[in-house]
Amino acid sequence: MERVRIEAREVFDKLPWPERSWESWRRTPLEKVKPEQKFRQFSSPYNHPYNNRPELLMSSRVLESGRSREGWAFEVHRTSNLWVCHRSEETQGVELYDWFSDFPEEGTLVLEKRIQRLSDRMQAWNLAYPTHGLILKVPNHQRISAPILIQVEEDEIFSLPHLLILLGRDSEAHIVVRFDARKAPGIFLNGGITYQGEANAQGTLVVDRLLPSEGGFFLSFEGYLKRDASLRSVEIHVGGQVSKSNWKVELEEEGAKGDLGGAYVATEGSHLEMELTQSHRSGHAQSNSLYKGVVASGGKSVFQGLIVVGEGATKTDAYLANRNLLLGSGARADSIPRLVIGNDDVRCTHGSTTGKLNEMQLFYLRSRGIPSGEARQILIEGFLEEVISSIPHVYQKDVLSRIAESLS
Amino acid sequence: MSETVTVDIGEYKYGFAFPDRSVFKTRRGLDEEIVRTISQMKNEPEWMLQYRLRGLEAFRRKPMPNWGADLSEINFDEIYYYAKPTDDRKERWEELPEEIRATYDRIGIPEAERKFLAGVGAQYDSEIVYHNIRSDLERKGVIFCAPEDAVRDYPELVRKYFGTVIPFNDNKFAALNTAVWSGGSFIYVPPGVRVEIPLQAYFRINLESFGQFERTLIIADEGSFVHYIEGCTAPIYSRNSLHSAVVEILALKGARVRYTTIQNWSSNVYNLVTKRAVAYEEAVVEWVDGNIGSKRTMKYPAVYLLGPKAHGEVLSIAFAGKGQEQDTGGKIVHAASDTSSIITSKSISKDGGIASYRGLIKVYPNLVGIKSHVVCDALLLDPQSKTNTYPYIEIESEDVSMEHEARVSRISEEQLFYLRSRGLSESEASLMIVNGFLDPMVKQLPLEYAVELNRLIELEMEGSVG
Repeated sequence: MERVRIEAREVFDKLPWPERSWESWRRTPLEKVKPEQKFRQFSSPYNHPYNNRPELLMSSRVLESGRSREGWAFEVHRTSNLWVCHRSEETQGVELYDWFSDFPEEGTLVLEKRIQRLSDRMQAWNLAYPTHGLILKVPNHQRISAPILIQVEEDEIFSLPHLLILLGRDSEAHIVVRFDARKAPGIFLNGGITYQGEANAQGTLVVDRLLPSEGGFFLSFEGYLKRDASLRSVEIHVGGQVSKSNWKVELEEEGAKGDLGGAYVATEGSHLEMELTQSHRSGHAQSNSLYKGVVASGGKSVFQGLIVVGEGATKTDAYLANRNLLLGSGARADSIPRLVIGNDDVRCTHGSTTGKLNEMQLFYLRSRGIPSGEARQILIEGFLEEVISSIPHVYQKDVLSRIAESLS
Repeated sequence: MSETVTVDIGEYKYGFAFPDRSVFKTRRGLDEEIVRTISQMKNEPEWMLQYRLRGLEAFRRKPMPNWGADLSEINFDEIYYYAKPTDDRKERWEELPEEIRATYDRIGIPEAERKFLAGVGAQYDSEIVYHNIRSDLERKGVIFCAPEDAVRDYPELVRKYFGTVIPFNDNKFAALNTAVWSGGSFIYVPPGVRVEIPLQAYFRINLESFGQFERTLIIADEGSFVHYIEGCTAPIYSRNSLHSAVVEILALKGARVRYTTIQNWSSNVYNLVTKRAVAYEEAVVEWVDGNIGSKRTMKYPAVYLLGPKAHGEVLSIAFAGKGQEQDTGGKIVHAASDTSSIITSKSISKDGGIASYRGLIKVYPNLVGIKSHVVCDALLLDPQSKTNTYPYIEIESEDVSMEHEARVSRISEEQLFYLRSRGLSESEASLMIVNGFLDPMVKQLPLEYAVELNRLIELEMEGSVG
């Protein structure tokens, strides 16, 4: 792990802090989160989190503790600097490592690939000065049909967690990552997730975060898909003061497929930004995205999508869609779906729509005796259903009730 | 791998040049003295000179755009900013110097004027050398003249509107234009007057390393209508020229303005143009923007919908061939309720050309009944060519219906196979598919122009001998 940190530090030192004049940071209220100040305060000089705390060093492994709850194949919780794992029998082969322990070489290689491609200092910061992290490896040929939960509870106001998820050849896993920072008002969370799906690996990744009313949340995801690997992802952003995610999927080999979803709700005072990149490095690959958002009065959302097709990536099939639903005046939704196409043998399209609740549908529901508030709720749920339905069933209710609560 | 479509770039038909016979030309480069000289040559009032100098200052201060087409090769010190080709402007083609007349004859302007135009202005390098408008329109109070003449003859109209749609410091190239503008058109259409036949201006660059900076201001008073067409060509030189126009349009209550551009600059011209219109209550503004020539084009015609029920439309067509970069699109700003807009963009890239769509739809807060529809289609003719789409959508009102879609495709082998099996050659089949792709756009043009555009595309596609 030390090697990864040193390399990330080198990249970090070379990159400048983000500025409002850059396209990808143009809309972000950086003055509210002050990353540079946070860096000076918390990361520099960097103390290895386990320094001078031998009791933690002792536990730089993951504690195994009994069985998982009904409906989950596997659960990992982080509370008070400790990863605790509960598993069912079918998941005995899944490997878990604490970020600061010795972990497999293949994990280091994937992270090194990511570090070489870093171009944003916020992302480099996460890998150069991590505060905690976890590596989850699903071995070759292991297929786990029930979902896996990784719950990261944050109790301090500064956090740079990283998760590395490796799906072996011909494996299958459905993972829900849940950052819970409700106990840390004013938190600055700059998280990272790296994912690699080997040949024919089939993965689902849901990322959800629960934020206090004040604070900044940043997340950068990068996923690499090998031959015939598929990834279905959903990022969920409900509320939060300042939130910016960067979601990038690289289709590295033929037959790779990405189905990328997003569901977001910007409530009053929320600034939600999502940057999505569908990067076709190899031909004969397919990517589809659908980001659906609800923006309430006083809320703001920014969606920046990008399909990049390399010069050699022929027979690419890519689609990108963003749909926004505006509730009430003073809601603001920006949508920037971009295409950068480097060869002619492709099928690439994108679409973006923005509108309000359908009055006819509202009227219909009310004429059936459903009160106006409930009717709106039904229509909003219906609007987000297309994305929410990709989330493992056991977790759907949690998300839907949180969305309902945020809009009531 | 895809098969390369065998269509050749046509020989540029308008690449001829005549020797420099300017009666006056400033030295290369730009400074305050040159701006003062231009103003003096035009006998301008003091306020216009001051306005130019403010533009010059803004030009020096403003950074080059850090996005869009590659402009690193422009050398502002190499360029001639002003060249006066004749002593005064004429109302009869016969009165023009022979070479200038020959130029327009070869482009076909006098013939077009006789057949289907209500008025023509022809600009050669920096100045409008020919100007004429049908007398019946003149009697109705329609003004169509060079902007220099408008500054002299209609100062109150010009001062009221000049620089109000595009301020002198809007962007680096608008600032440059403000400092050194020369030529262009001034149009005023009185209330209720409908100019049923198009007015046309034709812009020609003859010199090498030259900068053409025309300035156009169109004011359509309440309930009026006008269709303005501009065309542009230049000789092929090894050194780059710069064309940086500013076009301002005001469509007052209930007016309709249609502005059509067939841009066919030679492959050494940087075409960096700022075009913007404001539409008041129930007014309609349509930009039909065809970009076929130039080395680099950056142009995004804009409509600000300022009054209720106003409508804005941009139809953009771009053809990016070898060495060309067409960075085009459209911007619509909805600043009033019940306004609607449509942007349709069609681009074709071939022989490594890059076509980019860049656009903005912005809806201000607290508006109702907003509708907007944006469609971008890109056609790639070979594996080396590139296309990009950068649509910006910023919406701050709830009662909005906004749709955007974009597609990238190529000429499919099935389509080609079908047409070839019907006995068409491969290049005929390709041309037919390209024409079909552009059809929705071409239908928006007046018949004669549709024919002209089709012919231009045919030239680009087939490699005819000029």
